[in-house]
Amino acid sequence: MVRDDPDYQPRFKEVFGVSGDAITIEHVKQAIAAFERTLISGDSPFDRWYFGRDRKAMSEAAIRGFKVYMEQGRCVSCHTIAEDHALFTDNRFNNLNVGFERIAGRLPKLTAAFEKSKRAGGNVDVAVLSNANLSELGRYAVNDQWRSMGAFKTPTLRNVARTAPYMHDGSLKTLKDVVSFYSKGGRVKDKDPINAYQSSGIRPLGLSDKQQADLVAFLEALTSPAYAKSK
Amino acid sequence: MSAMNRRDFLRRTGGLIAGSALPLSLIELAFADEQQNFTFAYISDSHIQHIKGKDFVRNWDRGLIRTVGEANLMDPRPDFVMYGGDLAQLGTKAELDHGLELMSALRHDKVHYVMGEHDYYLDLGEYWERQLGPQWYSFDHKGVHFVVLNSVLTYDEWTHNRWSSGEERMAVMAGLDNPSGSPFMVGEKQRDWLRDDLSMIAKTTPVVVFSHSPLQKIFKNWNFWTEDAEQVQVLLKPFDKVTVFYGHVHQIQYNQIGNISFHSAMATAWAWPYPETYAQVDSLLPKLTVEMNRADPFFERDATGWQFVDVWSGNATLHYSLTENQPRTVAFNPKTGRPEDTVYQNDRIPPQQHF
Repeated sequence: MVRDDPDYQPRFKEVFGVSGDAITIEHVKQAIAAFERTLISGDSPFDRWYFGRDRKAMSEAAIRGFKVYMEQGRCVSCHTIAEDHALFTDNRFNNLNVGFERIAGRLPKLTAAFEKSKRAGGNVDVAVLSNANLSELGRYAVNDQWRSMGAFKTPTLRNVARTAPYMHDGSLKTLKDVVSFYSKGGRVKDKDPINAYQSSGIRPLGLSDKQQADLVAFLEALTSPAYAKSK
Repeated sequence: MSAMNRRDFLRRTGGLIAGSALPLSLIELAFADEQQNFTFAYISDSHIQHIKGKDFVRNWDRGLIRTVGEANLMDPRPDFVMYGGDLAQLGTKAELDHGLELMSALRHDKVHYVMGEHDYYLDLGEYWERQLGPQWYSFDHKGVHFVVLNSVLTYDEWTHNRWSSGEERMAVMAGLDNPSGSPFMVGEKQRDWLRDDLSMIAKTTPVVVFSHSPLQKIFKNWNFWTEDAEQVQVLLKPFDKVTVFYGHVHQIQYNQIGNISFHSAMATAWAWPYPETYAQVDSLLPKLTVEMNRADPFFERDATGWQFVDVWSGNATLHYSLTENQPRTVAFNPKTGRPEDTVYQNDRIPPQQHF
């Protein structure tokens, strides 16, 4: 895909001086590594508070939010925190009930057509990147397993206050919206439908307004100073 | 990539996967040469539980909703659907009605139901029977003879003489490890019916039997057990190929006894631990069974699921769709003459032994 893409072609030419078939996986790996070096994050108020034991590093609200994060909010089960490091992701895939409604009603036809095209040699990468309906199939498009229907990978939460909009389709604008969405068990509005394939880790949490505000304060404490400065 | 670039790219590669769906009839044609083959979906143990008013336990509802959603994606579509019993938790009209309403979202017309003890012991199957028909019956499909039994009956004395109400009787039978419970059985009347039913079938015809409890003895305390299992097995012995499917155990089990292959169904509601890892008295968990790990409680659907079955050859292949786990397939191995997990049978990963 990279070799043929009109956007990538001049960029690879500029950086590596190669084009067409001369672009190899080594070039792609180097490009990704260079990107990843911009993502290295640490030294956030949370890191200083949790790992550095600096009791003043986080606000009272953020400390209360951490308790919600670990307990009633169930956040930590997917956005993991380990004893000596915190990636804030378990690298698993879940259907949260985001954006799935657009295909839910015609899913049997959509998946049947998708599978038929796949068997005929169709390019999955192209399909999911170019067709908004097929992109909602999520991980299923890759592994053909019903358990992965509409499932997307858990992202890290480092610097999350700086990475709006949220969810795989950018449909939620603020962290407040995101926390409210989870509290309602994967709904924007109370009466929104839940699709049949929603992850069984998602359920209504019943967080109070204060708990939700505290949770947002905690999420805001995950920003690295170096990242904030570079933006 | 910008949206424009993606479109350009698409045009150039021609690698288009149609976003607008093809008519289903075209897809089904692709399988036209396999008409002798057939598959049925097999759903079991949803335990729909009424709280009050219009409230039902969300977790169990979600399990059945998820399963129906997955079964609706089967392509080609199954010839029919089997429901393996325990649609309800306490056998009430509200629970059975709500369960049947969730089942009505299936795209498939024909569903055959098996009686579970949670459907039965409130009113001895009366409302279930009014909605779904006889408690035991048989039918033929593409050369296979299917039999459905009510295997959750017990002694008349226990059923009729001990309880002040149906609710009390149901509550006792609904619990595991309840010393006031009673072992399940098919009973003499039904065995006589089965003998008659099978007398009309050629011995070369593949026979498939559905019961709710296993027609083999595994663990009595939890009624992973049918008291007259051996007497039923004797009636099935003369046939070349026999497969018994059962629900109730909420876990993957399989076994081979003589000519009879045994397979269990996963529950849509919750997972039970394997009795072998739990029992303080003998468990006869089939040695063939490759066990699953204990469920992760964060994911409510972990270690639950459903299955679809190919049985057209007379031997069964079960494809387990497990909501939060890798799918598994258990198929009859003609070389060893028994069902085996197609991936894990010989390279077993030991299950968790801690709780």
